[in-house]
Amino acid sequence: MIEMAENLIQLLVLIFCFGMTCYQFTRRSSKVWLLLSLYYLTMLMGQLYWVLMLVLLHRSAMLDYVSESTWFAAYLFLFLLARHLLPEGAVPTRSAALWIGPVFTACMAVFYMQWGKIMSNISTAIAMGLILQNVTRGLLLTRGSSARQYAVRRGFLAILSICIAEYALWTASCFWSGETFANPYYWLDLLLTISMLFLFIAVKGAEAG
Amino acid sequence: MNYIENIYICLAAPLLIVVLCLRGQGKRSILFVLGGMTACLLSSYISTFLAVVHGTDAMTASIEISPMVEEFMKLFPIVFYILVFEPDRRECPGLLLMIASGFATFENVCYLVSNGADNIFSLVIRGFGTGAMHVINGALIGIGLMLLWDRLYIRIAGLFGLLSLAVIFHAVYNLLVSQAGLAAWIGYVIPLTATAGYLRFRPKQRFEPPPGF
Repeated sequence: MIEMAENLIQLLVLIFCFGMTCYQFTRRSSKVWLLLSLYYLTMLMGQLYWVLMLVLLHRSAMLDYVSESTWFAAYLFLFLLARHLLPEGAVPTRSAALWIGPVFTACMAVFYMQWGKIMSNISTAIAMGLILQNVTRGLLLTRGSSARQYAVRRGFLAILSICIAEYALWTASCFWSGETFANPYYWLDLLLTISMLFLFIAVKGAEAG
Repeated sequence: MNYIENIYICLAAPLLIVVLCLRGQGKRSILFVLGGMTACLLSSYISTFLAVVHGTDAMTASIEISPMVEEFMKLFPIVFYILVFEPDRRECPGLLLMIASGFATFENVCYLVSNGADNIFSLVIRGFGTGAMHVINGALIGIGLMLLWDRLYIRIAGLFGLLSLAVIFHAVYNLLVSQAGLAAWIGYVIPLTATAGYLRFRPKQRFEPPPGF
């Protein structure tokens, strides 16, 4: 019951965010809005598939092909979004901090391999590593105090918050199970839902700025 | 038992003759319809093979294996065309629709052969629903690819992302229509509504990417 309620809340938030980004895309025809709407649509369809499986078949997917490829696609769209949020004509940075993200995702992938499949963990680590590398680059390039830089920085922070929420969620699912409010998984999934909403607000600010 | 190879030969033979007689855009379109039918035939073999390997029943195969295999196979003719002939990117959405129509036609004929053609009402709903789902998936990949074309890494990541989106859309459709009653109706209505939306908002002229794409 808790899982279903929590899934439905996330589904509603995704429908709202997808509708709003589609509206923004039809108004502005910007690639950032296209990528964000594709990210929300992919997450929305993945979530819908999951909920429908639970409601109609009373079980989750037996094979991972469809759901894994959907989540991976969502991360790819998030990576492309992070690339397109980078300021135009920005000088590429060569800071060592750029490797923090990929090293972190590689270590976590090795850790998760105790429970999950090897290929799925490797592909997720690559996608998340690319996202975190671009987020770090974006945060390094928008360190100034102008309003434009602040607005774009909020966009990168929103993507970072989604990545952190995802990793916290996956880690919680390794140690806790059971459908009770004491299980941090549900609270972290709620945090992920809030981060998705924050991403829309932050990108709107970045595009307006 | 369905002899789908025999059905394929019967459907493809007249089209092949037409291909020999036509030139230019018409010939290309018919070739892509044939490509869609061939993709359907091959994906039927691959889905059956994977279902046996995983030991799944027909229901699980149609929800969790077929969407992935069918969407991948539908993409092969256009990927081959792009890689070998390097066409103008504005051609791709139309050709993807041709592949989708060939695929849906062949799938519907196979469905008719195995389930009979006596209930016209359910066949009309199924025909339009399945056709709309394949066409919408083709349009999604075609238009999305066109908008995400400018650099190689965007093209690769965008192609995989859009393909996965088509797969999940297909899987949700298969899941809904495999049920009885309201769920099946919702399943048939979703692609038809999406098609109506596409027809309402599609560009009046040949599709051109907006400025900045």
